[in-house]
Amino acid sequence: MQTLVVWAHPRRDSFSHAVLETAVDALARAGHHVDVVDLYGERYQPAMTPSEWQAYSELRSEPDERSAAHIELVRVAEQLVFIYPTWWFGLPAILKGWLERTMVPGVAFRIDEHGALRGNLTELRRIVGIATYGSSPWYVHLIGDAGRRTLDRTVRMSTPNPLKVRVRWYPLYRMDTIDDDQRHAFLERIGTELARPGGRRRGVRR
Amino acid sequence: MRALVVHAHPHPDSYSAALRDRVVETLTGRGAEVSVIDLWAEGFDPRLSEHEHRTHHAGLPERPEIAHHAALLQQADTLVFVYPTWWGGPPAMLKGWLDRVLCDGVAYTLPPGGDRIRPLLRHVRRLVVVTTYGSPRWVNALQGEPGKRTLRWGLRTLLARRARVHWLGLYRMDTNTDADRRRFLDEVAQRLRRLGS
Repeated sequence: MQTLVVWAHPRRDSFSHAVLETAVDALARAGHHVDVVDLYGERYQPAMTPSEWQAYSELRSEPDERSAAHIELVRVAEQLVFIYPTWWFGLPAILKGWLERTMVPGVAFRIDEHGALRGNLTELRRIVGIATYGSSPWYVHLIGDAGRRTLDRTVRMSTPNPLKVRVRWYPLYRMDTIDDDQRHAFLERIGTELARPGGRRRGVRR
Repeated sequence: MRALVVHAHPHPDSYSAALRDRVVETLTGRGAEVSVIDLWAEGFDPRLSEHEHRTHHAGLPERPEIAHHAALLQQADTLVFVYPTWWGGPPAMLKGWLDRVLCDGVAYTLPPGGDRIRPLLRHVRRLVVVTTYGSPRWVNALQGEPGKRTLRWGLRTLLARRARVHWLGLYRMDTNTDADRRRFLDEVAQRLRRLGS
C-alpha cells in the first residue's frame, strides 16, 4: 500500500524516534511504499496564514510549495500512519497544524453537485495511530483522547466511505514511568504487527 | 475579576476578532482587568522546541520567550479562549500555546519521585470558551468534540477545584446568517455580564 508516515516529535534521541524507525522498517518489510514526513525535521510551520484562511473560507486552497508536496503525498496515500507524543491530551500543535494546512478544500473534502460536503480522500483505506501518553489508560479515557478522536473520526470522515476505513491504534500509556523492558516490548509489537502485509485480521484488497 | 483573553484567528477582520472585541468590551465594562493575547497578531510560534522538550522540568527559566504569557496566566482568575473550531478542536496556534505555556512551574509541578502532576493554576476560578463551528452540532458530537475534551476536561484539571466552565459555541458557521452571528455576539455579552465577580 502507498503509505504516508507523519512524525511529530522534536527530538531524534526520543523514544518516539525509535518508534518511527521501527514502524518504517516494518512497513517496508510488509512491502508497502513508504514516504515519511518529519514535521520538526522539516521545520514545518503549523500556523495557517491569513491568505490560506481566506482561500479556505472560499472553499479554495492556496498551498505553499511545501504544503503542495504534502498534499500530493496525501492524495495518493492508501495508508496514513501518525506517530506522535500526546501533549495535553491531544496532538502536538505541529501535527494539528499539519491537518489544518494539508487537509484543505479539494483535498480532504469537496462540495458535490447538491451542495453537500463529501469526503475526498478516495484512496485512503487505513489509518494507523501510534501514540505515547504520560498518563494511565483510565485517565486518558476519563478526559477523552482528543488526539485519537481527531485522527480516527475526523480524518476518517474525510473519505467517501468512512465505514470502509480501518483504524488501528497502538497506544503506549504511562510512558515516563514504565521500564525499558515494557518500552522494548512495545517496539517489538509495532515491528511485528506493522510488518504483516494485510493487517491483523484480513488482507486489504483493491 | 482579572481576566486573560487568548484569541486565535489568522485574519484581523474575522468574526472571531469581533467576538474577541465584544468579550473584551463586556468584561472591561463590568470593571474587570483584562489582558489580551492575540496569538496570530503576535506571531506566536506554536511549536514546542527541541530545547523546551529537553529542559522540560526546568520549566520557565528555560523559556524566556513565554515568560510574559506565563505571568499573565499566573495573575488571572478568569481564563477566556476565543477561537474557531478546526478539525474538532482549537487551531494549532492555540494548542501550541497550551503545549508551550502550560509548562512545569507554571501550570503544574511534578514532585520528586512522583508520577502525578500537581496543578498550579488553582487561582483560575472560571474558564470561558467562545468558539465557532463550521458544521452542525451533530457532526461535532459524532467527532467526539476533541476541543471540548482538551479544554473542558483536560485543562480544567489544573484549575480551581470548583472552577466553572462556560462553553459558548456557535454552530453551522458555513450556513448561518448575519442575524445569527449578531445574536450570538449579544448572547456572549449577556453571558459574560452575568458571570459572578
